[in-house]
Amino acid sequence: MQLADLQAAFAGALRGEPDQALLHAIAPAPAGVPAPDRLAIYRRTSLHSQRSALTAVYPVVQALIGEALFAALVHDHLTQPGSRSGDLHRLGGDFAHTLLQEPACAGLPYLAEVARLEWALHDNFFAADRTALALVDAAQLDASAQLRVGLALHPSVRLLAGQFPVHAIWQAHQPDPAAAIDTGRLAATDLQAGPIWLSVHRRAEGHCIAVLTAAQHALLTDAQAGLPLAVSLERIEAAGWLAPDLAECLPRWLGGQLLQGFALY
Amino acid sequence: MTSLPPRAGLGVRAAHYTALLDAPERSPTPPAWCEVHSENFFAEGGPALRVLDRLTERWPLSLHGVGLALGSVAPLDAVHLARLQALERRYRPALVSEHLCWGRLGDWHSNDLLPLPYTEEAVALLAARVDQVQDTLGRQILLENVSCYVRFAADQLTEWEFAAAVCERSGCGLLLDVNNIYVNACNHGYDATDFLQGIPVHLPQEIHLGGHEATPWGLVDTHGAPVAEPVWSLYAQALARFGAVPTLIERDNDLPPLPVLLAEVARADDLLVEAVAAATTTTAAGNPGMRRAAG
Repeated sequence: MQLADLQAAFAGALRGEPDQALLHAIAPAPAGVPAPDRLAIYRRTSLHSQRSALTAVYPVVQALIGEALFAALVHDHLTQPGSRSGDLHRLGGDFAHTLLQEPACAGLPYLAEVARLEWALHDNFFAADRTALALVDAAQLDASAQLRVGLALHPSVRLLAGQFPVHAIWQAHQPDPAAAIDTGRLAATDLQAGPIWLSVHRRAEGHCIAVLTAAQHALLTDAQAGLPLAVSLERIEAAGWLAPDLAECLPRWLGGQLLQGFALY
Repeated sequence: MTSLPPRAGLGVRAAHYTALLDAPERSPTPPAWCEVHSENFFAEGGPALRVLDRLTERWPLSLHGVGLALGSVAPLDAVHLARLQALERRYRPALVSEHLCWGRLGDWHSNDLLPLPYTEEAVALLAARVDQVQDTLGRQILLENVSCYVRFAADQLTEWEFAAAVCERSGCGLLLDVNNIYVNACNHGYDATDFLQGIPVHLPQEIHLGGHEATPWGLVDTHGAPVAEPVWSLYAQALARFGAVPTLIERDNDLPPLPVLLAEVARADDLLVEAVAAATTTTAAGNPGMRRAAG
């Protein structure tokens, strides 16, 4: 069996049952342990590593659906689509999609959005500390340059839009000296409050999750796409939204390290 | 680029960051150097790199990768390699290592260290991949022998012949995992000393010591137990053959408190100091056999 065929058969055995060609390619063990049992060591090790990685990223999802269903969904996710990186920290970015496909999760319509928030919190851990953009002093720019000025966000900023107050659900599941899960706070969350927009970014002292207006979310999304502030404000006006109060939110975003300054686009 | 001293180091895991970094600066306690999993620091910024910044202020560093899957027929993951390159450039570690294994099929990853057949085809593939990595990084890397639970009817070489052939052909060094030798020797019925004797003395530049567990299917390299006594004995034989090679205590599962691991580091360090003394004595008697520090 050529190396390519052997690796294809071996990978198949980790995702299902070993085929006969692979079993014939494996030498007998001196202790007589059957080849399927020895292949199963790899299957368990691989699954253990991947499940541990996903559990570390999605503790709130696991708390919401319970260990048994979470384990089953992790198994499904690892079967299809499976891991796409040799770096386990990159595993699970599309776990929300697996949750959306699962009928047993239908009673928790906010679950996929919680997963997206947990992924954002995980993913921004690896982002750079400073924007790569050249910062400018917006107050010193002439009129033509003012038209090109845009927001330089912290590289860890992740923006989310959804239908449920997942920040409150997430908050209710954070470690508490009195109780591991604060079901009282969760029960008080109004799940029918309507659309919600969030930003997540990393600060020196930890994560920051902030609730945004639709227009603020659009402004920050445009900034990540490299659009100047003036263009973004025109788009917001065209959408019929109330323009963000820049005098209020820009100093707050600067102080909160969401915004690192201004750059020319 | 600082070289590793021929002393004992510790595989540092997140649970021990605080305890290790808060230890007194001039503590006489080992480790003499530290190793981390490269992938845990594939970041452009953030708290992970701040931890590594602090670690490297105090200890020489070895970067140990677990995800490049060098022996896969699928092409190397260019993104993964670029992240390793960025990390290497930032810290200029004493050593960079990976494994004698495969793990990737197309864009699917097992996230495990899967066994290769010991064939000429696999030697050629690994040697080419090592070339690619060494060219990218602009430096030599080490490859670690892995524990394996299956062997293949197609094997043309012994495990040690395979490891030595890849190293000799590609110019990489060997990271000798003594626990893996012991596990494989028990599971596949060979004499572990044959492995040691089959490895050219100049190849090993780092040694790993970890724990295994006995299961109904044989010994399994879990990195979840203390180093076993037979592995310590085999390690002493390795030092006698290869000299004082920088040695790492590694534990990934069921992590005990840091002092428990540091006691194992100290035990390895004592054996290394004895190996240095023995080599010095031999050298004084006219045999230039003392091993240089790896670098």
